Amino acid sequence: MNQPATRGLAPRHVHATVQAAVLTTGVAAAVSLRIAAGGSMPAASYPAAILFAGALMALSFGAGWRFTVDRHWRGSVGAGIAGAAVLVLAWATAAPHVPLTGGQHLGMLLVWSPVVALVAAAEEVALRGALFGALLEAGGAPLAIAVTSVAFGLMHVPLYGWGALPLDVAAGVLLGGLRLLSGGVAAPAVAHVLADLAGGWLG
Amino acid sequence: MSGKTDTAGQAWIVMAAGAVGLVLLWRLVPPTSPPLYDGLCTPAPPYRHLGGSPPPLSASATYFATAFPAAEVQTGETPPQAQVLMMAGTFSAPSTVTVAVTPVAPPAPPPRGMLQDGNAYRVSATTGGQELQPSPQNPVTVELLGSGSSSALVLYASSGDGWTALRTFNLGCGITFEAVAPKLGYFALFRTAGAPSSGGFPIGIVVAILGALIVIATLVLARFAAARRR
Repeated sequence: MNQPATRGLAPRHVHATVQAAVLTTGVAAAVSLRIAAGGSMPAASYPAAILFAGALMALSFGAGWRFTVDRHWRGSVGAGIAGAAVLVLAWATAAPHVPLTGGQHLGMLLVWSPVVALVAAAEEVALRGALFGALLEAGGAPLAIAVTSVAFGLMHVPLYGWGALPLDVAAGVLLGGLRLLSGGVAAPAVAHVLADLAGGWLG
Repeated sequence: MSGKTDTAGQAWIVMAAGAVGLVLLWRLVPPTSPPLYDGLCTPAPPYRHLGGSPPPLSASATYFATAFPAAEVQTGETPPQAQVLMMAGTFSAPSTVTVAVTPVAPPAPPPRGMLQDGNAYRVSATTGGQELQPSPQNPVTVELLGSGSSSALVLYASSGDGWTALRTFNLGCGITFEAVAPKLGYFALFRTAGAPSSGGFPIGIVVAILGALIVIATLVLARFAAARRR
């Protein structure tokens, strides 16, 4: 007689594994929703981006993630700023020149910035918050880092093409390390938001 | 205490691996591909069509051809509607070379079954009134911005008599397209005629199904979370 596949696993691990699987499915649906709602230019659609962020936040809250402020928050923010510096410097040192964006784009950037910050924060809450926590419990840090990094890369392929995959996976590894070091989502969220904003304001 | 130290050690190793990977990868990827790590693409301003107002812009630059540098010439819109990227040694001539990118009327009718998207551009390199072509070892890279009506465009080249499709890459935000061109001449983006630029697909139904899937996933997750708290 066949034994259940989960034989020998503690219920906590089983729960965490199922939770991670449902979360991953939900994140994939959220990405598809963004593409479907974004028309011919999903990567530039603000309504699609806001819808996407809302879906990620709903999934994360459903999974039990809650916003909390602990006594180490200053350290987490500092680690996030340092992480952003690494993300931006890796890009800036490879680019031959980093011109400042002209004034004609200022109005556009003022609208763009909060939407980008919202999307980046929601991605971190979903991936490095809810999903990372479930995977940490299901299989430990290596599994959590690997799955969230690959998911981070894959979720951007429909928007930016396969060229985005290696860079986003590497960024996911760095952000996962920040999550592991700080124990919370604040550090990777700060790093991700600042790096994305730098892409618009400096690039 | 030891567990915390182990975790911190793991975290530093992971971050170092990520940082090294990023530094190396940024040197390998094309300069304009994808936005920093994600983030929205900044919406492009309205496309400037030839004959419209404001008109599309031209660009030109002059280089010493005895040691032709790696260079790019791009039109003045933000983002540029057309640009050409050249490697060091692309042109050789005894004096200077002027590279120009100019919006022009299409030199030939569209390929069968295709519709032009945006302007045609002429890319030329001249020295002393004589036209040059890139060396065979150093083809140029042409990048054209789409008008925003479609993200499925193909870059075509022409020397004045018909169009030839080039192997086209969609850069980053789905609005800029790039191809390597062994010869200079005319370039334009085309999309399949009859292919809807947008719409034509029951997007509303797809969005509703995906929204329902997300709601179901959220409810399942909430049940799990509640069960674990008990």
